[in-house]
Amino acid sequence: MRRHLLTTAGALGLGLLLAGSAQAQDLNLGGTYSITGKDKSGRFRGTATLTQDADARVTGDLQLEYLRWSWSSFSYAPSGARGSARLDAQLRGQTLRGRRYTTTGLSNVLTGLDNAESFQITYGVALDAPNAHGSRVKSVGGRFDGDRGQDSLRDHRPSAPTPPPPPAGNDRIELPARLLAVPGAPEEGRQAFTVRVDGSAASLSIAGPGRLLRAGAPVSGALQLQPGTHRLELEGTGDGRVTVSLRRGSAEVTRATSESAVERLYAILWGYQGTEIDYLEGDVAKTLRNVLPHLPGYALIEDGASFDQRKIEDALKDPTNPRRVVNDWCVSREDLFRYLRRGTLRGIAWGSHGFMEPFPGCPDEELDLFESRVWTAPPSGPRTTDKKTFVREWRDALAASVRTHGPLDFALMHSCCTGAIGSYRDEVWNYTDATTKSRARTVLGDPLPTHDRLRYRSFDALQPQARYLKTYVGPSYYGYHDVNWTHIRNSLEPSR
Amino acid sequence: MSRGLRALALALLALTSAGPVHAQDTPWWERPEAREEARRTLAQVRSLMEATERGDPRPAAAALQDRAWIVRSIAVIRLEVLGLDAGTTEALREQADPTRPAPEDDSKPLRRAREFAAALEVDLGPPVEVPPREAARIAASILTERVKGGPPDEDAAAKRRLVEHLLAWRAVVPEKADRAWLARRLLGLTDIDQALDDLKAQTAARAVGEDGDAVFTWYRSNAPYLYWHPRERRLRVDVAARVARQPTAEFRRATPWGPEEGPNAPPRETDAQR
Repeated sequence: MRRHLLTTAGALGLGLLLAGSAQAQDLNLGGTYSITGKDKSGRFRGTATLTQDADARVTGDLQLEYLRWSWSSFSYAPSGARGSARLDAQLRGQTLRGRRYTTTGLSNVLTGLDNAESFQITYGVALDAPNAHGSRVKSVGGRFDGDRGQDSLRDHRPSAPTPPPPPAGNDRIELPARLLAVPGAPEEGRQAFTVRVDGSAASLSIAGPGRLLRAGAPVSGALQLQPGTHRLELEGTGDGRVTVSLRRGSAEVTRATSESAVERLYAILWGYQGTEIDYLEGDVAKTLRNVLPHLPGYALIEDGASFDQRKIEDALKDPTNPRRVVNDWCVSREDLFRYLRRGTLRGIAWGSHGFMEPFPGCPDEELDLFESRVWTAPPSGPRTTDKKTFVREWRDALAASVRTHGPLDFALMHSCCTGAIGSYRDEVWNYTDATTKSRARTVLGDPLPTHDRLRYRSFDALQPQARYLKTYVGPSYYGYHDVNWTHIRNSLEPSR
Repeated sequence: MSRGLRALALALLALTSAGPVHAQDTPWWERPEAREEARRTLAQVRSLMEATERGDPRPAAAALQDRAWIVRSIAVIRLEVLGLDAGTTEALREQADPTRPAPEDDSKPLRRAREFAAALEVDLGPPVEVPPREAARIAASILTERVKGGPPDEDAAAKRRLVEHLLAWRAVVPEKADRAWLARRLLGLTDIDQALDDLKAQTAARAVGEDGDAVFTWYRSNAPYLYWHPRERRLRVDVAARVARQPTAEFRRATPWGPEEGPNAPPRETDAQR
């Protein structure tokens, strides 16, 4: 026991001392966490869901994914093995005492706990300033099974609080537990909810980072509702708790709350691959291997080789976890701008063919200005071309995300000529849109100017929008052996 | 397509394309020295990736004088990833070309790269293992870029010679799946439409099968008829030359391409864009 206490105290560190016991009086550990740690089977990561009752008894469900070291990616990667565990403990102050049960393999964890391997635990709770989800719980954790086991629960997302007991009447507000705030496209996080008004008219109002809508139109001020059941809509607008209240006169007759969180999105996007489509599977795997393990608590959303965009769209609508990584194997221009328009990007990796040419429809005086552009792919698959998207379009669209979250952690523009024309200088006009080329011949003369008499604008123009930006002078290589993954990993700040 | 049908298609193809141009010696890529060099090249690529993934630039700097241009090329790319300056990289990249010799000892960019490697202070990471499959794919990527992006006046024979490295590597990669992947890459650099038609396969995956053998056989019997299509940036089959059973270079001396034919024809697909 002494050893546990000492270890726990060490793990808690400064946060515990600063937090003070007064803050712990109304501590509620209920909610979800990301978890990392180890047990006798090895290192793991995963999710933990804790519930806490009125007597401060805490039970926890731990879903674990074991990891093993990968020399090829120089990082831990899922081994394929999974496990689960259960916590049953009592919270006193900032200490959680009880037992940890290894439930892997048990068909019924509720009846089988007596037979499960278990360990006594004394875990510490560290407090800090409220996180993005309004929780002061910085971490919960400690050791078990001697020095062999360790749990570290972080990134606490509190459970939506239990609604207050209904008043004597039958007025009701039924809110979704979580709201997703998508600042650039708020309708993407819109959810329906119902209000039942009983007896006489009442007014509905909202407090916190949310917005009420009726039939798709925003509601300003209090909304007068006649008796009956009303179907309304709600959008998150920021991080924090949203409270919807129903009043008659000055008396609040019922209320409900929901947790709103701004989406944090990392996008790994694959456009037109052409005949190099045979690299796609390997390049996707390599990118995920180098990025995902360094984004703990983030959910992976992807379409896979089916290129089925509905899989991604459905998953993006789910507000359960606002932290997500989209890996889209086939990005059309429409897909691309739907992601960019959300205004929630925290990092982006783009992979496709690319080149430079004057912007189609540009004024005559810009016909000698070659701008980097990359190809999207049609929904049917990335072997063929869809549309070209130019630097100016990317820069304008990324501005929404920078307004929300500040500069992206990284932008990897893995296409040829995203940094400069480079060794393709002698074929600089070869891939220019036919209409543009014809205009250029009229305006600039025939033969067209050689590369050294042209001006250039590359994706280096995104520099202020990303803390780490990688572009390519001339060729970029399928196989992604020209990517410095260490720089990308070091750029990641998943918890901000 | 069933195995039997494919065998029949290959037999028919061999019969219809058989002729004086096919009665040739063992192709260069099947000779022992070519296989040995293929083995050495892929091993070097693998070894350079393993070293540089740990942050060690020195083997890459040493490989800048390797006799294989692909090894020189991967060395330059990896040094750039580790921070070698753009000017030196550009100069070394120009030397890492099949038409150029390895740089001499007194080459200025070579000296600068070696100084960079010697001066770079890094805490080496733990050992990294790069699978042989990965080395072959990286080498094929460098090869693809060079074939598609080489000088515009490079003739078809030179392009073919480059592409045929894929056939040399086929003999030294460890598994059927790797050979199949190389065959798929071969289709990407050659006349995929004609190959699928000749092999009576609906898709590239079916043409390749589990080991790529049908595609390699197809290439061998069609190699003399391949011409370079500059806008598709791939080798295509000169079907008229094949019917006449004359290598395309010889056939087109007597029967030149029309203004809308062969290399002068507009690209037939949209998968060869930049």
